[in-house]
Amino acid sequence: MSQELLIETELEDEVQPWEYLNSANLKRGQKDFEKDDTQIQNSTLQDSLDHMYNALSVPRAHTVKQNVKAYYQDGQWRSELKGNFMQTMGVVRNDWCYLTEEEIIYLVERGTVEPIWVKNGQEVTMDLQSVYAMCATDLVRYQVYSNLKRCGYIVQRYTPRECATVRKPWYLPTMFRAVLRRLDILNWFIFPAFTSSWLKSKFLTYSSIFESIRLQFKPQRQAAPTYPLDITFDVWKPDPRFTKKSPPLPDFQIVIVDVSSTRFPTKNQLDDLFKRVEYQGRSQESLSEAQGGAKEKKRLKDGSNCVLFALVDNGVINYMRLSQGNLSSANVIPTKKARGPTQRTTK
Amino acid sequence: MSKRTSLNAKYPHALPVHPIALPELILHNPISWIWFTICYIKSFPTVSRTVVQFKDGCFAVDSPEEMMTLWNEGFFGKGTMSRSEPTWYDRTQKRLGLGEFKNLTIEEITILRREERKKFKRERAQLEKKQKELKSMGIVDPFIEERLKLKELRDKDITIPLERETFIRPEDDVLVVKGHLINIEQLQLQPCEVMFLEFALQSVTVVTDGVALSSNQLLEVLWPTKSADDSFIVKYVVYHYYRSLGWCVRSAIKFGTDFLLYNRGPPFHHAEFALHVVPNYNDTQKNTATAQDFTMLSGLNRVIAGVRKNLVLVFVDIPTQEEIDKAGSFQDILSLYSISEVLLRRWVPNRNRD
Repeated sequence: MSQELLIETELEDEVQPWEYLNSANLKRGQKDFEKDDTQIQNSTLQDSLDHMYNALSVPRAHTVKQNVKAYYQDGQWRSELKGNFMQTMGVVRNDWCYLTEEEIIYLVERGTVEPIWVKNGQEVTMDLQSVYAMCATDLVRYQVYSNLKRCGYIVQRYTPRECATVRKPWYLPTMFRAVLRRLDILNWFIFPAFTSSWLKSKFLTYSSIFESIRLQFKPQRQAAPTYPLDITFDVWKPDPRFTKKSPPLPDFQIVIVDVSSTRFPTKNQLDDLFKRVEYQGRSQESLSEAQGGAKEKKRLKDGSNCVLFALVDNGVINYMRLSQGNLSSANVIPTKKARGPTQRTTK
Repeated sequence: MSKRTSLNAKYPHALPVHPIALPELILHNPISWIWFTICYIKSFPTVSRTVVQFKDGCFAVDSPEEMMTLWNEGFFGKGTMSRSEPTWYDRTQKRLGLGEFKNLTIEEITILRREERKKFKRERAQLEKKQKELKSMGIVDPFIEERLKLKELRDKDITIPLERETFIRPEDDVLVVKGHLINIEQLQLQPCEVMFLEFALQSVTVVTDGVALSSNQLLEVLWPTKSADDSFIVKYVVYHYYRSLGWCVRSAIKFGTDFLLYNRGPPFHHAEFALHVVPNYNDTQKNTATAQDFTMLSGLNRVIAGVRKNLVLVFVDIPTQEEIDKAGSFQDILSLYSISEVLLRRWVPNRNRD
């Protein structure tokens, strides 16, 4: 218990604190159930168990009026137009809400809809197992979908959008700085690097030394990947104002990968993804000119054009965030000029 | 004096090549203009030259002054008997009670920190034991004051002892000649570091068996195969690129990858980025065959994140062998390569929701 105050540990998968089930503020706890055989610990454990059983023992049911039926007909799932899930799931056409495979499994798993198979005019109520058999064509995709949904996210299949390219506006200060740099006349007497006369150059600052030895790489090849990767889902953070009719740009875009059969993407595949990815705040990343301090640090660490990978290993999911780095924009060269007496070690 | 300014004073040079130092220019004093101009014309960058011995496949610097020069001016190399900065001489002098009392070396600071940490853990264990006893009697945690004290102990900085304890071992006889300690430590340099110092900064002379090697001879030693995806050349491109941007680049073998990037150098900041070099071929088939493994990268990322650094995959575009063979100078060869970065980190749904 003393560690709780002293050491801030971050926990991601904590046990459901059942005793708080009815209170509004669910708190993240500390993993501290090393058994110490004290009365206090035993009673806390027992209390939690009792709360859990109490919560589970309440019959979970809904009234007939609230019952939502989803029909499977002609290879499509459609549900009646009622229920909260409609706010973020499915597509409404002709007074029906059409659902994707992962949406229907998720809703049936949760008990939100009653699945019915319509065949030759007859309606047969299905059980979860038969819904699985019919719809779980891509189990890996469903696993990621349900994991994100259960974490509270809004998830939809990826739809390509028209990429709005943002052009970097011309800033007067940057122009001014560029002109000033040219005017830095004293830095003109610099001999080409990697030659013996280089050491006779009139370097006034460390940045002029560093700049002079910088390599001029040839422009990068931009070949299209032979196997482009698919973005699978658009993901939004939970937002009550979300409308599926006119969704805002997603917060994340996610690529699903089965690690048993796939290796890490090649650079071409990644570049292609970075080019296509579209999410909120993406256009601002490249505009940020933050220099120095925490802002620059964050910009360097976050990179730009981020894309998420859901790595699935036989049902276990791990998410990886990939983005384009730009460490060359970091401001790490000491600006102070070497002034005053310097040690003469030249021979 | 703040920590930053004192560090800047201690390590004023970012490279063994220093920019020219000019006198102050006073606008309303024309004589200072003339003096300024004369100084400008007459002065050249100063270079701290060092001699690197190449023997048995290792690059090492012997002279204590040159070792310190390479460490202080850009943090090159590693002391063969120290963690990174060559401090063996200072530490041993202190241990044997010779010479003046000098500041603590990083190794000594680490030992002191560990002791403080042990003390803290002991105290915490005691408090926990007490708590448990009380808990079994049905009393929950009255130790607010003790906890605060414990917290203080945790955050306390080390106290530097002013007395030194001498400790002499029988084998020390060999080390002390006429009351003076002889230095047996060397500064060992990585191949990339030697090549950079030689080729880009022209500040070292590599000597093997008493004969100085030219830049081309050194390249012959380090890159005999001349193959486009040889690990030396691929790593050197990355090393040179980040060095020329001003980062201090050091080996990251301790963290299971290729390079660490320091802002300024190890005494200034902890390394923020760990680079994992990945070759990228023009040939899709070869690329797919050599593609990285998700499991390995996830593991590497956990290690890097565990030491609070950020993993960067540095993709190096490999030119074709014909292009390499055609290119003349080493500089031309280097510019055939190019570099791009991909940042990789773990994403946790529960922590990105709001």
